Amino acid sequence: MTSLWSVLWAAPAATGFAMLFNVRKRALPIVAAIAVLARFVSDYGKDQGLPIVASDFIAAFIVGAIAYALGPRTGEASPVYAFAPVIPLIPGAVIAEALTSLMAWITSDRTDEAQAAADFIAAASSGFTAAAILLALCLGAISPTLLMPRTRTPED
Amino acid sequence: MVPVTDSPTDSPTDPQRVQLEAILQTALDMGVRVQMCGGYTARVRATTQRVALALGAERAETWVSSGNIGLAVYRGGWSRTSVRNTPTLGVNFTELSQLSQLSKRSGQLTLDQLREQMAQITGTAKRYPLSLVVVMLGVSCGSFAALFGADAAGIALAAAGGSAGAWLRHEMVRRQFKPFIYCLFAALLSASVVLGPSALTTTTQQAVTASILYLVPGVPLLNGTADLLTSNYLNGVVRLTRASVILLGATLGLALALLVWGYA
Repeated sequence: MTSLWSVLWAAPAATGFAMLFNVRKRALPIVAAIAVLARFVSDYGKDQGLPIVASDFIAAFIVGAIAYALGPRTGEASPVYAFAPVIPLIPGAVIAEALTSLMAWITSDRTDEAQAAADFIAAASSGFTAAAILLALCLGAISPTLLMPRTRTPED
Repeated sequence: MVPVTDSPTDSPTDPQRVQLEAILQTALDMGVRVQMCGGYTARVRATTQRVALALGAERAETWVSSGNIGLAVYRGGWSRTSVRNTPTLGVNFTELSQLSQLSKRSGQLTLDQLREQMAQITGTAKRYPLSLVVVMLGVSCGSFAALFGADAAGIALAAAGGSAGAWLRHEMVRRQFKPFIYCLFAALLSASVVLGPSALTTTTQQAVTASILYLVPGVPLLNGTADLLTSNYLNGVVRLTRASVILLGATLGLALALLVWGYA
């Protein structure tokens, strides 16, 4: 079940990155709010049985659409609202599993062939999943810009 | 051999030529700044062309790579071309937003007014203090740990590791180390800060993963994807390759820390 308290952690997570990207102070609360919404959508999608790649794509697409609509109205370039809020969607657990399995496979002495094979498959599976999620996040955040009407330019 | 003539139109001081040169350099300045602030290729191209046309060029053609921008402007039978390097400056979305707004108004401004306002933007777009950014990146890493389900000690360790690594990365960037090297050492330090006192937490794995996430190359990844999807394939591949190198450095740093602290 999606916990509102847990998704609130997305706000400080995105705000730190927004400050690294030198986003203006007045835009920081909006960035934080979009990040919380994105994390909520992602967690809710997973709760409803969607694959993690699909739920993260939908969340990132919503971020991209909000950024595209909000940017020009608030005098900000759309990446201000599109980039930092997507970062809390990064799949830490999947990346950790991939790294742990990879390290176990690399450092094993191969006396237990079955375990070594299991570690390798776990590392490859988690690694590919993490890569697919990253791709989904990037595509989701950028896609709304590609669907823009001709009256808008990439500058918006 | 054709003799060189000193006709008025060939003179470097010819008003038409001087004006076209000023348009060229101003539009190029704008494109270079947009690229340096973190704009993707289509944005850089659109801004450069918009400014050149607004200032009076009849036609403007751009060539944008990951490290250079070229522009050719045409007017009244004349053409001028120039290429400029775009050194890495670090992402600056405040300046990017201000430059975007300025380029949209460029049709209502004279060349001198535009140059003056550009200088104002680049001179006044302040950054947050380094200490604040380092602390906030630590807070980000702590928040990631919380999102991954870490306990309170794990959150605190991830925050401390993230801040320490972010500070080291800044110092190494200042000393002009390459991305692979500074990401490797920053990840090694961050993970070590978590793994050293890992007895304090029961969620070491979540904390150590979160502690290096400040190294995620978000802007190169997103800009690279944007470039690929807007048919700027070469620049897209370059940006994604840069992101891959950063990720590889961070991964190796983490793997090294796991080996050093006996977790592998």
